[in-house]
Amino acid sequence: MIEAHLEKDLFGASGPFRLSVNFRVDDGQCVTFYGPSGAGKTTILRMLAGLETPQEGFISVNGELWFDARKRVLLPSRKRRVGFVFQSYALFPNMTVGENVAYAMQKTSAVKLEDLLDLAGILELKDRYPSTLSGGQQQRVALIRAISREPMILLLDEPLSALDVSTRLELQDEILRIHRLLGAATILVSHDKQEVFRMADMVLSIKEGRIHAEGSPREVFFKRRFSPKFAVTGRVLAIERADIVFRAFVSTGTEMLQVILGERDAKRFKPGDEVLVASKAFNPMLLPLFEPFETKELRQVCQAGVGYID
Amino acid sequence: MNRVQGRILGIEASDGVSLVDIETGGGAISAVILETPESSEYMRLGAEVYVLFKETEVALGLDAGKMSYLNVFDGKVSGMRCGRVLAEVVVWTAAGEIVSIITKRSFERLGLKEGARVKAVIKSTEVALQGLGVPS
Repeated sequence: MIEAHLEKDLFGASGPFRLSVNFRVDDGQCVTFYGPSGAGKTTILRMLAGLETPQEGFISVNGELWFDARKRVLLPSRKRRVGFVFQSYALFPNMTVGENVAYAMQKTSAVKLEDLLDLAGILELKDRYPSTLSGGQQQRVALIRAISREPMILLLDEPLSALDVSTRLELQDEILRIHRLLGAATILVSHDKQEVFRMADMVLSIKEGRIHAEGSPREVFFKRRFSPKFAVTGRVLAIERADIVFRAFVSTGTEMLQVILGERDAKRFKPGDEVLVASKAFNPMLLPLFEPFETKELRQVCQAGVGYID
Repeated sequence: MNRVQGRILGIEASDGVSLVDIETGGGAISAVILETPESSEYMRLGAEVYVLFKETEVALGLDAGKMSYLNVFDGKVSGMRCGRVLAEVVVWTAAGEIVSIITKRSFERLGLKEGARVKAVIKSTEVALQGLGVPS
């Protein structure tokens, strides 16, 4: 569990402001700091990792005091068990994947390097150099390196924002899986609402150094309570006339949806608008994603050992 | 989307599914939703809510007969627009204006005209609620 109170004067794009935040993250919880760039999100992570020192406040992790301005406690960065993943991967270019991860591991670690690499499905990349890997592969290495020290807290600073959408979705699942496996408190910095919805148990929305909203993603992003259970966020791409109604094309990250609108609703929205696509849980139908292609006859033939018919 | 403001009159809940009755000022409207008083703070008697339902979920009839629909509103046709496939009909009811989008074929079969008496029918599973606040 992380408990922190952090204060520091910072300089933003529109002048100086004071970072002043109070928060708690329980073990097993994934909390997101959400907000515009320059709001102080990265600074908070750097303070937790010991890369930057607050002027006031304290940081306590699992009851251990890492920083306390009044008691003059300051645990050096290398003694803090923190896993940190940056947007820029930050791998050593002159070391192989295996060497990068091994370098971060503690010598006394009971975990084997091969097991760690296997965990992320990158064992076959062990002897490759970072420059020969894709962005998604490099970030997998960085993630494994971050957890190789068995950290008490996992800090992720916009780890996926440089990746394409499908890689991003894959890695979101990967991060969630590792977060659950580790059971540590995880803090994710993100400015992508869809990512926050998918990953976070709780959102702290930060503006100019202050937390101005906190709660579940739904509570923070949709203040009014809303009954539909089938809802995704998306962006309007186009609205076209279709007979006397209108057809809105909405992109939701991986899928393109179409929504029929009456004339009044069609006038309320324009391309580029962020929207919530909502339906009642009673409407959507589930279909198997892959229809079984084999016929009963073919199956009988195969089971009889006659062979496979192409 | 149709939106009518109302106040929660009654809640019947079982296993996370609720049948909610909302007084709109022009008759009650019922909604089946996956919220219960335990799961959601606006699910309280007296709470102000918006009742939301899509134009395409509103059926029209000259008489409602014996059917499973819980929500039947008497009204008068106050406006209409016809396309090649679809028709939009605006119905004035005691609960306010309700817009319905039906096929042009049904529209012609019903022989709807401005001022004609008509019933607007909405399945309760197609009605959504949006909480506006709980009375203090």
